[in-house]
Amino acid sequence: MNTTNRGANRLVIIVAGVIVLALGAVAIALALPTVIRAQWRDGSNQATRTIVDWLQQTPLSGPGTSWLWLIGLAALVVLLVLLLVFISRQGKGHTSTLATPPPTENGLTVVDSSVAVGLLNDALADRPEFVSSSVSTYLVKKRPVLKIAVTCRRGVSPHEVATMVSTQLGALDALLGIRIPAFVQISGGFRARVSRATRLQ
Amino acid sequence: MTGPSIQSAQPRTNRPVTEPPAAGTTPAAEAALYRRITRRETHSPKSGLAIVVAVLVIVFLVYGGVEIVLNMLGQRALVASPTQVATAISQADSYPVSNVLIAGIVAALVGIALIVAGLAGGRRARHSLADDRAAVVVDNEVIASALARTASHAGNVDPDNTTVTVSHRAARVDIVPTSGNHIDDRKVLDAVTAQVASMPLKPPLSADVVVEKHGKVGA
Repeated sequence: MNTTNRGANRLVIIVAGVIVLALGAVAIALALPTVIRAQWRDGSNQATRTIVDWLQQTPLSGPGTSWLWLIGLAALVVLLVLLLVFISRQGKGHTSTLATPPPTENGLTVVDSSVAVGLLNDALADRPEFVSSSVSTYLVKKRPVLKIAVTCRRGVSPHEVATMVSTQLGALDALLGIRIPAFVQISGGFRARVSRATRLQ
Repeated sequence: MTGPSIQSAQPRTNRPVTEPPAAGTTPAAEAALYRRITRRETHSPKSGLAIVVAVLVIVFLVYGGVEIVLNMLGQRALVASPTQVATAISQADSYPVSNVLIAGIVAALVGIALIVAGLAGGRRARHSLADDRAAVVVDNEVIASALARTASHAGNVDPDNTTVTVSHRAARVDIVPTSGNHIDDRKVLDAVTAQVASMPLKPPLSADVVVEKHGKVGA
C-alpha cells in the first residue's frame, strides 16, 4: 500500500552485499598463498604513495593538509544525506483526501478520508468476529485507496469476513456516490492457549 | 452476522440508484491497481533489512568523517588516523593467516547472505482472496484457523488438538484423536476440502488430513 521504493531497498541490500563479499574475498585471497598475498605489500605501499602524492599536490592553506579531504568529506555528507532520505521515505503514502470529483457550476467538493474512515470504523467496530479493525487511506498510483485491516478471532472464515467487508464497502459506495478502490487485509492475532483444558468427567 | 452497518441514505428522487461510478477509472484500471496492491502486500518490502544496512553505513560514514576532520585539524585520532589505517592495510600480509582467513570467510558469507536476501522473492505467508469489490489479502494463519475449526467440528475433537499448516499451495490438517474415539478421516477431509474450495484463494490450496495413530487420553 505504501510508496516504499522496494527496488531501492533491494539495491541498497545488494550493493552492501557485493561490497562486503568483495572485502571478504580480498581477505581470503590475502590469507592464502596467492598472487594477491605475494604482491600485497608492494601494491599497497605504491597505492599509499600515490595518494600521499595527490594530497601533497593539493595543499590547503599551507602544507600538511589537502583540499582533497574536503572533497572526501563532501562525498561522505552527500552519501549520508541520501541514506537518511532513503530511510525517511520508508512506509509513506498516507493521504487525507478521499475524492475530489470534478467541479460543477456550483463549486468544488472535496471528500476528506475521515468520512470513509469514520463510517467503516463504526460499521466494523462491534463485530464479534474481529479482535480489532483499522481503516486508513493511502495514495496508490496517485489514486486514493482505502485500507481496511482487520484482526480476526480464532476460527473465523476469511471468506465470510471478505464478503462482510465488501457489503459494508458497497453501502459506503451508495452513500458517497463514488466507488473508492479498497484493500482488505485479514490477519489473525491468535494467542496460543497456555493451560490445558480442565477435564470434567 | 449481526452488528452495526453503514446505513445508506434513502435514495433521493433525482438520483438513480445504480452502481456508483468508480472515481474516474475504468474496471481495467481498477483491476491493474488491485493486482499491484495484491502483489505488494503478498511480498516483503525488505524495509527492515535495508534500514539496518543503511544505519550501519551511516555509522561508518560518520565515524570516517570525524576521523578526517580530526586529522585535518591536527587533533589526535579517535581510533586510527587515515595514515594509520593505510599502514595497517599495507601490513595486512603480516597478520596471522588464520585470523585473516576467518575474517574473510565471515565477511564473504555475510555478503552472500545480503545478496541472496536482496535477490530473493520475499514471499509472505499470505494468500489473496478473489473479491468483486476489494483487493483482499489473508494471512495463512487465518486460513489455518478457519480450517482447524471446520476439521475439529467434522471430527468431533477439541480445536486445540487440531493443527493446521497452510503453505503456499497446500493445507495439512493434523488431528490427535481422543483415546477411544474413532475419527472418520474421510468426513474430515471432505469438510476441509469443501471449505478450501469455497474460498477463492490465489493460489488455490490442496487439502490433506492426517489422523495420528495414537490418541491422547482426555484430549
